[in-house]
Amino acid sequence: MEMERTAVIDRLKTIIEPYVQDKNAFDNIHEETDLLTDLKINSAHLVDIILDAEEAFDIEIDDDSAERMLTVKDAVEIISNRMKE
Amino acid sequence: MIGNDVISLITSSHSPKLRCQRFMDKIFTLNEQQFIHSKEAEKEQWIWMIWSMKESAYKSYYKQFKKRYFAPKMFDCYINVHQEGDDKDCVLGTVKTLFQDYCTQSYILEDCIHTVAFVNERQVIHDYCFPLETEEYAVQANSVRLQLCAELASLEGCGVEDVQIRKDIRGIPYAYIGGEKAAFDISLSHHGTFGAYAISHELD
Repeated sequence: MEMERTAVIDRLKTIIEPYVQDKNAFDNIHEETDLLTDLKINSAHLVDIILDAEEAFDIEIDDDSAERMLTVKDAVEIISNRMKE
Repeated sequence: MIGNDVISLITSSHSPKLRCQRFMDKIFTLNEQQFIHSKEAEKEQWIWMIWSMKESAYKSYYKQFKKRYFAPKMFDCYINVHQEGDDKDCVLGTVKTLFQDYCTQSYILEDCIHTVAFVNERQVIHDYCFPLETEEYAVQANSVRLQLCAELASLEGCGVEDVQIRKDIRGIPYAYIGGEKAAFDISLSHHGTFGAYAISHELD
C-alpha cells in the first residue's frame, strides 16, 4: 500500500531532526525548506540522512537521486518514487 | 576561486557509520577507498581529511559554476605530499572533477583538520583556523565573520568597521570595504568548536 505523502514527510522529519542546526527553521519547515542552507545541516550529515532514509523506508537511494536531494520536497519525491518501484 | 573547510575531529569521530561500507560507498571513489584502507592506524583521520578536501573544492567549484548538487564522488581526491610536523602535519593534494582540478593544502592539528582548495597555484592565500567558545551555530558563524573582517581590515589598512561580509542570493560570501565590493576572494567555515577562513588576493 502506498504511503501517504504526509506520512513520508513526518517520517522524514524525525530522520533529519538530529542533524538540524537551525531549530527555528525546523519549527517552520515546509516543502521548499533547503536542507543545507535553511536547516544548516552539515553536508557530511546529508549522507547520514540518506542512509537513515534507506533503512526507514526500505529503499535504495542511488547516487543520481542523492545528487538532487537539496530540499524537503526533493527528498520526499525521491523517497516516494523509490517506494513505488 | 578558493574554498575552505574545517572539520572538528572531536565532533566527527563518534559517528558509528564510519565503519559502514554503505557510508564509504556513498562518499568515496574507488581510488579514495583504496587509499583509506591502506591507512590502517589513522583511517578516521584520513576519511575526514578527504572529506575536507571534497568540501573545500566543492565551495570553490560552486563559486565558479554556480550549480548546487550533492555528489561527493564527483570530487576525486589524491594525496600528493604528507609532511609530518611537531605540532601539525601538512598535506598537499589534488581534487579532480570533470571540469576543473583543484590544488589543496591541509593542516592536521591536534583536534581538527583545515583545508583550503584553490585553482591557481600562484594565488596568495591567507588562512586561519581557530578554536571557538560556543557550539551554537549562529554565534559561531558570527565569530568567524568577525575574525575574517579583522584580518581583511589589517590587510587593507582600514578600520574593521569599514569591512563587511555579504552573501549573495546563492549564499556565496563577498567582502566589501567602505561599501565597495573588494578584490578579495573569501571563504568561511566552522564545525564543532573550530572556525576557519581563507582569503585570496585575486578574483580569478
